[in-house]
Amino acid sequence: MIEYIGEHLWIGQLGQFLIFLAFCSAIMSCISYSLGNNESTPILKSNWLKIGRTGFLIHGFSIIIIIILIFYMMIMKYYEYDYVWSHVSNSLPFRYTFAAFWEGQEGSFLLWMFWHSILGFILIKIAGKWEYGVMAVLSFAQIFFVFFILGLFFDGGDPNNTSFSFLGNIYGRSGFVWLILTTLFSLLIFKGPTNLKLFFKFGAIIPTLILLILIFSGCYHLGEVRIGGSPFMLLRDVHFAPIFNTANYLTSIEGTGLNPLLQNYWMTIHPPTLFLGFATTIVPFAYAIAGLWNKDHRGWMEPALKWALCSAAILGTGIFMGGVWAYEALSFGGYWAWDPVENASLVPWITLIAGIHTTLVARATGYSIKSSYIFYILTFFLIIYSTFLTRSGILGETSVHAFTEMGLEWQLILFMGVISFLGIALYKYRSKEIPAPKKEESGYSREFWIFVGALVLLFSSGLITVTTSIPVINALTSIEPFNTIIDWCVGLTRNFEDIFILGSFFNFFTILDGNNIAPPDDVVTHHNNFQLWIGILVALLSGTVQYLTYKKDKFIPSDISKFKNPILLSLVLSMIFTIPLMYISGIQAWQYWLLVGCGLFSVLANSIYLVRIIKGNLKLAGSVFSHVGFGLMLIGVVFSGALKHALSDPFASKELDGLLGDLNKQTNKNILVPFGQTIELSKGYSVSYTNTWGEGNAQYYALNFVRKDEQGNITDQFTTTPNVLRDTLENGKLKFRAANPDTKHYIHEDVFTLAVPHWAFEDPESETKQDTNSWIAKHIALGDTFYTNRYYVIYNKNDVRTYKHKDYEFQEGDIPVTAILKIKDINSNKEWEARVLYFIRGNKQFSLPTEMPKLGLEFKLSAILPAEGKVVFEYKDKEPKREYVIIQALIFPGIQLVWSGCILMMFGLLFSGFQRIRLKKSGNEVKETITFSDNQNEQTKS
Amino acid sequence: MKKTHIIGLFAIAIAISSLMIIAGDASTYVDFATAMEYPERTHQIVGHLSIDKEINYNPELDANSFSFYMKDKKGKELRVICQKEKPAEFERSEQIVLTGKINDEVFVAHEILLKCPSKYQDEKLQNKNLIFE
Repeated sequence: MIEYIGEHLWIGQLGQFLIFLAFCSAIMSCISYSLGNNESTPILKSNWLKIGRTGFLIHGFSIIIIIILIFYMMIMKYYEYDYVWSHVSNSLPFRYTFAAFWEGQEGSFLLWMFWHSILGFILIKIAGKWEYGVMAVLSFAQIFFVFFILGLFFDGGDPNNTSFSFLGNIYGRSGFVWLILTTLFSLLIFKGPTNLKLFFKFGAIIPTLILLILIFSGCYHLGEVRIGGSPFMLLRDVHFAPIFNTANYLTSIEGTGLNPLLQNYWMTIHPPTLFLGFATTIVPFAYAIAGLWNKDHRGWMEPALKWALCSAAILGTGIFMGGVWAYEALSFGGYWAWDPVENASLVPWITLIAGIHTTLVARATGYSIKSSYIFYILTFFLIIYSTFLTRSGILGETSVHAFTEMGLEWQLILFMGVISFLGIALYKYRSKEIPAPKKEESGYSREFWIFVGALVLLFSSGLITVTTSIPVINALTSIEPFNTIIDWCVGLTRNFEDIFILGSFFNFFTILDGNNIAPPDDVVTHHNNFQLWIGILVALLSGTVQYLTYKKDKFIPSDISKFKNPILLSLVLSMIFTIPLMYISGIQAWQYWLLVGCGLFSVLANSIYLVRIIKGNLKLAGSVFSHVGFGLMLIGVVFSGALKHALSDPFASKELDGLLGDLNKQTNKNILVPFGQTIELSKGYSVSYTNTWGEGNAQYYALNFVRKDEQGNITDQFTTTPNVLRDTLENGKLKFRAANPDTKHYIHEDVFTLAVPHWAFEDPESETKQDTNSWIAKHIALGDTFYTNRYYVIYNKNDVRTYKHKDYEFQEGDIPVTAILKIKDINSNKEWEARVLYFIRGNKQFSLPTEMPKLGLEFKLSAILPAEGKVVFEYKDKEPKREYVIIQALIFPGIQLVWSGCILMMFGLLFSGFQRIRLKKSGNEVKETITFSDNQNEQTKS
Repeated sequence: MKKTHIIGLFAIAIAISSLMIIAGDASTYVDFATAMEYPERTHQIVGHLSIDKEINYNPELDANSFSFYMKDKKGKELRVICQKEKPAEFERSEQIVLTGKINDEVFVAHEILLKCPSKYQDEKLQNKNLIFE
């Protein structure tokens, strides 16, 4: 066994210890909170509360210390750890340490757990009587999250062959888990609530039993089974390379660093926001579970609603930031591409929004309590499902930017299974008790139409999910029992193949049976076709339903005018604005007209609502902000999507590619711009490539755009400086890493520009291509002329006195001759001179090639033939290397509307959330007593 | 019949019909042979780059297309013209998914998706070792 030099093993051992501690303390916290929730004796209840809190605090602080340890490792560049080696390098700037931390799966799970811990601390402080149920759910989820990074190995190898002394092998690790669990339960036997002593005794024995079973069944030698990937795994335990045979291998390795595509400030701010969004969805879910658990079917909604509003605002901001990132800093040339990874985070947001709306209804009328439960449970399930999609590697060929695999799929499936089983079982168990008014909602009431809106949203998320899940469907249909079921269905429907509707069922099952389904050929068009109608419906509903009131059975005349007038006004106004606007824009598809009209209708109807009905009372205006934002976003999406075009393609600007097509595919968006030249683009634009410079590992290109009107007057002029990131390889060549766009913003549109240099398209690691051009020989006499592709060359005279050549040194006895060639351009009268050196040393002839790089010519005088009075010239005719960049310049009209719409939408959500928190604080006392007495009443009844 | 029931039935009807539409929209991964059989349709083909054959991208002539040879999963090789700029790290791609049509013994792709090894970590370590020995 080798004693490795320079490794810092203590940090890994401490880290691994904390992971196990976090795991065990989450279990302890979950059990204690659960038992406390079911306990009715006040003293025992508060005992459980203490244990639960202590457990969670230990858990939370373990997570925080683990994160600090990993940061320390990364800053100190301890490459003996795989996670450090994989994500940082010596050249990585310090400011990207955070980005490097959450680049990997383990780090992003830790970030998620960190947010859960913080949320847990907040809930401990403010949740009151809900703390038991909510924290039990939260710590239950945390058990699974730590499970993902547990790093427990059932390794087939020699358990002794590692210097990771105590925790390094499986015996050490499982022994440690055993120690902690046994100690924990032994402590509880003496200090915990007395009525559960028996339970604790079992608890203390079970780990020992499991350990014994594992040892005796030889489980440790089952092969390479791993549970969770720990961020503290050693490089030499993960990779197998001969380099680890040397004791001081650390001196010769360096980290691989952060993916250059991600070396961007967005990578520092986007993941924390998105993961905070993910993390917060557990709180409404936890309240829903706690509500079901405690049979308090009304009380849970008040805190859950506040959290759900904040969560939707944060998650929405996270998704939105992802879009801005893709647009501002990546070369995709767009903000939303319906990529599976994007969809996976959008879908739970949509169901969360649906949940918020049904909760509003439930709080005001008592309808829709069941659907509120379902939506929050569904949202959290979808969050886990999206994690499964993006992290299990199942997306495979359908996504551009999924995480790299970590072998977690079975753990994630288990988590999904447990969450859906618990959610569904608990809901089913309680569903009869969930209060619902006997009479169904009236068609004139607000609650009815909000419910319809929530269904529309559910439908939207369902459609996105089905298409996104195609790889999952492929995987499912190839395993039993689904395979047999589908075979059976194919057989059944085959008989109806020719019948109109039933035939499509046959097709459907045949496609399923193939296990080979690909996403639609044009995913963007596919989703747009569906979501367009969802957008129209949601916009219409969000405008109209504002004017309806809760619990209205029918309209009385005064209601009708209150309802009809503002809606008619908004409809008429939106038509007045939409028709000329769309006519000018040149968009032809009527579906777009409809979508813009509906978006505008939502904006107008909500604005009128703000002025007329709530009289400008901003405290109630949260929903108005969000709905107006949604309307604005729709309008922006239509303009920036349908009218997006490449400046470099003169044909694209006028020609709209039918309905909703992805305009990208037909346009010739790339255009070559040589250095110093001006290239005409469409719409009066021209571009010239004027400058280039390097900064760190980035190379910048200055593109100067000029816009002229029809008379040729310059109307606008601006410079963009897109850049590319590159590495310099050992062979001196540049390796292209990533292209970063630069965008010129105007109020009404954006000009998005991207430049990629010529060398980016060559493979720098391939062997240098030999010059394919070969030497061409010419036998000529003095004064003769010969032609190359672009020049004619005159053998002008010989010079025997001067000899200058970079590779030549005069030696005694040499006879040097310099042939002077005159080179003339065929097209212009430009003239150059080439001096070609030839010399005789001893009795050998030598010739040195002379290069004219600007002309792309190379000459040598290979022999003198005195008998013929001629000489042999050889020349090579290469195209001169021109320096150029390939640019893309895309126009996005109206994109600012998308941004401002999204921001307004998130602001509205956050605003409503804070309004509710504030109102609750002022009316705190009253509401608490009411719910408490309700609860007591219910308890006495049961 | 209650309103909610009507809505429920309505929702189920829409759900089933859109599932059918999705199934109709969905494509299948095929091989070159199938694509040649139905040249009028758009196909998605999974395969990998033939490294020994030439990859041709000459932006000075045409910055918007490049050509290469791809082997599909059954090993059939065909020339591909892709109507895009050549993606970075193309030579290193492990897998290619093309969307396009057959046109006269050439597959014309308008969409290309690459799967690249995210990092050459192992390779890098192994190479390190070569320097040592």
